Amino acid sequence: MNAESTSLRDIMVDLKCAADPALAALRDEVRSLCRERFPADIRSKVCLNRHLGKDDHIRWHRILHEAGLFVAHWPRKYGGQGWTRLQRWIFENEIYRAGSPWLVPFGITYLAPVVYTFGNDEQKRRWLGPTAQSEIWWAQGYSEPNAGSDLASVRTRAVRDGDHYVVSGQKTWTTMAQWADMMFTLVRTDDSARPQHGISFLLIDMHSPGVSVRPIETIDGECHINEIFLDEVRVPVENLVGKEGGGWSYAKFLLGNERLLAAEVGKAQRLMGQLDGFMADVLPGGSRLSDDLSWRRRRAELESRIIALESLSYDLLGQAEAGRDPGALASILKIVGSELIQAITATQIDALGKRGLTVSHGMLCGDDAVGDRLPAGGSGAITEYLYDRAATIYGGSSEIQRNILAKAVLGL
Amino acid sequence: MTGAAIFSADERDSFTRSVDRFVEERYDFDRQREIAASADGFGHAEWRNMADLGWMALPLPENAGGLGGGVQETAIVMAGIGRGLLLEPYLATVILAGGLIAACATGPARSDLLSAIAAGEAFWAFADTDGEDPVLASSEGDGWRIGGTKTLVLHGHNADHLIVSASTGDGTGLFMVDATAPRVIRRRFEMVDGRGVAEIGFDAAPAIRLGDGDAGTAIAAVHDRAAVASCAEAVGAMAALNAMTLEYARTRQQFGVAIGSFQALQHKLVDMAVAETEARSVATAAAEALDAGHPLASMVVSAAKIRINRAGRFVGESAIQLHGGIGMTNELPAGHYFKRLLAIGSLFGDCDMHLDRLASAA
Repeated sequence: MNAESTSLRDIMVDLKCAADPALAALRDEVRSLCRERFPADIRSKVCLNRHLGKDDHIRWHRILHEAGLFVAHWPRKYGGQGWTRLQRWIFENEIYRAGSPWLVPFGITYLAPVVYTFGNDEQKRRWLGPTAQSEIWWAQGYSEPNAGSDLASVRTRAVRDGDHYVVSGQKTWTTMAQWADMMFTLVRTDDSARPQHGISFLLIDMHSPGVSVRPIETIDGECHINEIFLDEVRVPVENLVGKEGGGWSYAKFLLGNERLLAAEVGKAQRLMGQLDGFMADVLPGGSRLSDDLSWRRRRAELESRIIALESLSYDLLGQAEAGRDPGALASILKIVGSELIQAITATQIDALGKRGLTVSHGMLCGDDAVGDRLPAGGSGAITEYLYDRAATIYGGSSEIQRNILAKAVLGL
Repeated sequence: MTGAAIFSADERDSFTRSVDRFVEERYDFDRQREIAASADGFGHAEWRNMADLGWMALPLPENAGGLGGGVQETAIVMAGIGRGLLLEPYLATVILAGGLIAACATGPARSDLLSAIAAGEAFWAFADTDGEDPVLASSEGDGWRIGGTKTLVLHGHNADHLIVSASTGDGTGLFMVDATAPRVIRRRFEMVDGRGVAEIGFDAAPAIRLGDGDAGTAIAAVHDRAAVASCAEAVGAMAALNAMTLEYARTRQQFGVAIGSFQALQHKLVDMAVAETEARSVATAAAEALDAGHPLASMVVSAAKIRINRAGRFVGESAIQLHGGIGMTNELPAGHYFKRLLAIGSLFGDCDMHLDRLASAA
């Protein structure tokens, strides 16, 4: 066993890496990268729940790319290292533990696999390189006001007109689209087919005439998401990826690819570190929550849930590595992982009590200049708590995941 | 115990199939009820079968008639025990007593005792929980005598031999006692799941010390292995209980449709499957951590036992609820699985004990 690994949060990765030296080397590489090259100012913003700007994200993405890690999950012929999902999982958990901001997945993890799997050579040439270099900021245009969980009912219409599609409609909940250069969308190209068969996968330039973006302020006071209005936007036909009418199957391919990585163990561990800090604070009267039996148990309960989630992730990833695709069983990771993140942030705000009520107003959408306006002692934990209420809603709500499991795994 | 996993993937699969076959063919619910009602509360013929199948030898050291298997292998047996609600004293004899003897005994006695266990010829129990009078040991000439009471001794009512933990005035020692000796007074009780436990009084009973020095470490280690074994047992029980609840939901008709077509029930059934799946993963992780000798393996054991205790309670209660009225009857297996899960939840560390241990590591 690795002599320096004595933390509770290292046990599972230790056990995994002890049996797999290549994995251990990857973990060590990522750890030293985080120690040496992860910008302290970005880490501090993440750990204090401060607003992160577009530049912060791109700066960190490019450092990871220079180190060969940003798109390492792509196949070698497209500039990646052909990582397995287990390798990607180890990488993500290590950086999130270290305080990395969310690696914005829209370009590198959602769009790129669709392009290199279903796109033509010209599309691969045009989109993959700039995406890896973070020269293009992508948004995901899937949800609509009347197509949330029921995604197959998208109504945004794309009508062929010579060498263009003319696109009209509305997308919503579009994360970070206020910064986007491009948006990959599901659009309806055929009304007569079954709903799933009339959908196409189209790339839209956000700077085109007819595109307007309205940021939506969410309950945490931030602007992560937007409404996109598309008013007769002319999109060149070469921006259609794959076959017309194939969009639904590409979107499903993408979801299947990603579900195994859904459990945010690294983030959970970082949040636990934060909770430990809150519990160690000396309260008026001199007591500390970390000395209180019920608080120690409450915290240990969360710790046991993280270890269980981690072991479950390794099991399902291991099955995938061994060629036995766990299929819909992977929905479990989304359910359990999102509920755990919510439980940890709920525990954080309980630990802070009224100390935690102060929030930083004025972190307005896209306004990176707004700095730290929290009074001393304010942690922003309540902002994270509010934001994480979305974890059980986005990417297929918990109810949808349970429907999937009931049908596909239990056969009900 | 040697403590490393010994099976290849193929051997693991074939051993699992053999355990499954035994449970399926020799231990259906009617037979289980019959054995539960028998005088000893376990099946002697079944016990011999288990020995023939290598279950007893599996975790015992190779130099004493065993196969030297790890916790990961014992877990296969224990999952079968949970799936069929087996009643034989495997945990008490092989994992607890066998584990303590392997860790503490020396000389020819060690291999004699363990060989007898491996052959299925000995019944042991581990008397660890003090009753009203804590058990004290005092040396007398070349030997020892112990006095005091132990309680909740799993299978202690019909074991032939006991290992008793006792205070020596210089720490905790382990002592072997003839359970049938006149100065050993046993009262049988039944746990909620029907398994027998004993309250045992020792009236200056002659005892043979097992090893020397403080036995605290050996006891803690065997408790960890028993906790993980119980986790595997619970996972087996949850799997069986979930399968029967799912089958019931698929077939039970109300309002002209199967009740499993209702979303409220579907989501409950999914949550039960999620609990079982997560429990299986974390139980396996705990077994791997122990077998790998990780310095913090005990913490994974605690994490596993907390999750399994919670999952067992949730799956058990939900299964009764989804079965409705029929779930309340002792005629149906569901309630018996629930009661085994309840018992496991309090044995080898309940949630609070393991939460406190996990909290101490942070």
